[in-house]
Amino acid sequence: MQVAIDPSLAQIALFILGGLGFVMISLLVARLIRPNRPNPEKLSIYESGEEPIGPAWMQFNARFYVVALIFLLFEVEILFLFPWALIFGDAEWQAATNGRWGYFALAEMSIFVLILAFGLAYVWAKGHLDWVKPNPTISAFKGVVPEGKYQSINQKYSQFKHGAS
Amino acid sequence: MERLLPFLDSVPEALKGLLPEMLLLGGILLVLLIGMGKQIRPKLLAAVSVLVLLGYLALLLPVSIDTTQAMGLGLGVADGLGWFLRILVGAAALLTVLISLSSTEQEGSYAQQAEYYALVLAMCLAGALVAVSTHLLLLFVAIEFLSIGGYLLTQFHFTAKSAEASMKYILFGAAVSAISLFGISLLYGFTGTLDLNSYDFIRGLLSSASLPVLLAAFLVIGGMLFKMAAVPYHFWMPDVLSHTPVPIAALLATLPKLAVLGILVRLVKRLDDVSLIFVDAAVDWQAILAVIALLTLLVGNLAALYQTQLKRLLAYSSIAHVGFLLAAIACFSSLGIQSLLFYGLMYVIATYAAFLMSRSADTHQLILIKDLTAVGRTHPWQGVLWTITVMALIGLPPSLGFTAKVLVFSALWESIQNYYHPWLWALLLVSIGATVLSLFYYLRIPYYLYFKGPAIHLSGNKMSKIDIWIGTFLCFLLLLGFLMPNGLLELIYRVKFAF
Repeated sequence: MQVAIDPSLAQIALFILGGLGFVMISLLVARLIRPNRPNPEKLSIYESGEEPIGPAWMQFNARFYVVALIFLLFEVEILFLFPWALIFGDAEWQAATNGRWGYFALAEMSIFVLILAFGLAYVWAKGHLDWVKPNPTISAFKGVVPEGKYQSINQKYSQFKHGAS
Repeated sequence: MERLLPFLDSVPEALKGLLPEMLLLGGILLVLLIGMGKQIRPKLLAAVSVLVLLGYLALLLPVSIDTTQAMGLGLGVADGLGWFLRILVGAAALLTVLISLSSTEQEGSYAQQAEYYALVLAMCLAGALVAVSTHLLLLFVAIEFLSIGGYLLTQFHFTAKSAEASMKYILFGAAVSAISLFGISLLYGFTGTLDLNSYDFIRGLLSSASLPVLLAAFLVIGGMLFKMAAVPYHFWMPDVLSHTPVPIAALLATLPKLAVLGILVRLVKRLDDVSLIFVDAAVDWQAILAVIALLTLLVGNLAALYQTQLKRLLAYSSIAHVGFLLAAIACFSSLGIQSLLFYGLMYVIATYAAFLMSRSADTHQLILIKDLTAVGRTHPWQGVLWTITVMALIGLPPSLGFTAKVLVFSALWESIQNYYHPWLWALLLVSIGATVLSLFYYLRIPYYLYFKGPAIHLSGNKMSKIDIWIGTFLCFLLLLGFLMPNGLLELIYRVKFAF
């Protein structure tokens, strides 16, 4: 039985193959040229600095949400820019309207992007983009054991730790 | 293609029609820009907001209300109904900014923040867009805009309780939005258009079965009833109002409700037109609205009987007032729409007066009715203002509330004569009964003001000068509207809405 395949599906297939190939090739190139010094930290699954295995019901740092929200703002912007870009430069429409269409579309998108850029400026000025650094307070406690003792013990046991892994 | 040039030609006209709303947008950006500075300038922020809102109202004044024409590229309509609601929405936002100038210590420091002013302006913008929309796409976007402003403003006490109220509001609101969006998508599926005025919309509804249309319309209308806090979507209202500062509570009690009136009237009218032609399985929208209005009146009034907190009492009373607004819509007549607008105006003034006066008992964040004890004797002028406000809320003469209620009752009576509808009879009886019932809980306020003693919060009953002036002005309007209603009535009678 003959099945008629839409030729535009071939383009999509090409896209998928190209995407897969791109990932494979870049992984391969990285494998060839990178130095190979694994340690347990590096070998663990990458999860943006979170513990990869464990219950999902845990407390996230609140600053992730702020960053996520700001990220969303610009993701939505891109979402609108794509369909806009498709019709913005439409030669037929441009010709039919004597170029007015282009100016109209450009003005419309500029207003949209400017308002979003204003949002970025706002969060920037308000300091929501500053990653709050922990400010450790150094204890004023003075122990009777001299500082050098701690260091020598730390050194002694750290050898064991690294040896085990 | 051939539609492209006329579309481009219509853009300047569309922008001209939306000039007041664009001014608001500019105002929002300006307020945020001021807020970006290092210094906190609450006075400047309030001044800019007041000027922007005054400019918005001034730009609206010359708009013609005798004609009906499409605006905003066919997404909305410029008619008398929309114009009146835009004015009311702007007035509500203006009053909110004015009364937040004198926010008390108990209410917190919300009025210092640029975001607060930007959100109030944004609520006004969203409300104006909802009020003029005739296109379900604009309607959904504008209602979401309105809701998100409301969720954020609810949070402005910055306490655990206000976070709880805000969270309830968000969860409930998000679910209702999703349901309403589902209804809109169903309507789009039936008709292939979202424009209520287009011929395709009516034809599409006529050619589909009545039960799915009923379901879809119900889902869409549910979203509007949620914003109006009509039964069965009223649960968020008491929590939200009792845990927000007074200006925000007054804004949330008035602006969203008024904004959705316009589109609710237009949508119900369109559906009713269709069901008149549907002879075999007609949906009686008048009965549906009458039942919702009746339930809202009953629930609002009965629940208000048991309240001990002042702001909760006002919240249930505002649910009861929504019942009257819906009853005016259920009349399905020109007089009904006119009485709706008159009632809406009275509702804004009386609600703002009541919330403002609740500051006379503002000794802690939860204001109890008990806190008003003997205020009428220690602060006589506050007592007078309270009494006028309560009279307007009940609908006693000589106040605007009386005129508004009489208009609603006469519109109902006229519709009963025209339609012989049993549910309208029930609605009329229940609304009269509800008015009598409301005497019991509203009169508790003057009772505590004058007859209970001794005073418990002598120091807490002081209101700022600005508040007293604004309260006096609002009460003056309430009395003036009763004594000289002619100018207002002439304006409102120009709003023709063909049912």
